[in-house]
Amino acid sequence: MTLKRVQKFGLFNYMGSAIALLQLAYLILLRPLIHSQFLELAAVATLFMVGVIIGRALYYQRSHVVVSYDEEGFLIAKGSKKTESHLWNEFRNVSLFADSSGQLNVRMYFEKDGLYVDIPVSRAGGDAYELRSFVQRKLKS
Amino acid sequence: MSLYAIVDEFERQILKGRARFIADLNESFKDYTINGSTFDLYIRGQTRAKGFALSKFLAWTVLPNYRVAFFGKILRNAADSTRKSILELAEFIRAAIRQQELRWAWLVFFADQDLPSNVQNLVEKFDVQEIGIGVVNAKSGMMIHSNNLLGKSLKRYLHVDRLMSRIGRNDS
Repeated sequence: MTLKRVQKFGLFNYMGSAIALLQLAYLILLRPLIHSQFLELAAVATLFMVGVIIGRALYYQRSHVVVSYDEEGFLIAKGSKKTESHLWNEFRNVSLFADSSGQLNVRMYFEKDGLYVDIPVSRAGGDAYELRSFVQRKLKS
Repeated sequence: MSLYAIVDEFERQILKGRARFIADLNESFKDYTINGSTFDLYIRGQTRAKGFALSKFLAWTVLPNYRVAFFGKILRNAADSTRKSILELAEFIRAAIRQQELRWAWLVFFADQDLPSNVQNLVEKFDVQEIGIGVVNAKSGMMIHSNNLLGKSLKRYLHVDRLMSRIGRNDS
């Protein structure tokens, strides 16, 4: 099963930041050189669109979370580069962890109260309780 | 609603922040075994809430960072509901508090019938400072608790009784 919900807040955050930076750069660098009102409007609209595209690309490159799991193990991909995969049988214990923003993660312990890996299920649009039950069954078998 | 479903609902509500006025309980285990004793629900956390910006700063500067825990146990049969077994579990929690360096713990029992009166008396008169005990009757929705500060906090801050009546309303 693959979970990959787009985090709207994260996406709009990247888009908003990109648009704001481009508009700021426009105000400082280009605006003094443009004297036509039509060109001014066209530049603002174009930069808005460019900001949306850059923000979206940055979100998918850095923050978009995809969680895939099956009977054998799971894979977490954050952005386009960072991936982590494990087998269920590497772990000894499982818990549910609510992070500071209230999102639920399934926390997988390699040994009891030792090192762990967090699976960001809520961020990826899945049901953390359901995955925890699934994992508990796997760990017991 | 079954006792297991009530425990599940408890877990959901606590992870949503039901206990936030007294502690940030943010990590939950099901069927957790400590030193050979298994609890249906074990939730741990700390008194310092995380929050954002100003609330985070205030929590960091004002609140102490004590580790605390919530133990939940289903009373499945009459043997679980004796004075002796309750006292044994309370003693066990005391050991867990020392072992895990907890500041305090709640121990809540979930039952589907009224406990014998001698056990109810034991719970209500329980006066170990660092353990708050509560017994939730799933059928009647009533809760009894120890008369110490932590026992009272089950009602005052965790609103366990209100949660039970809400579960009852949703069930009917």
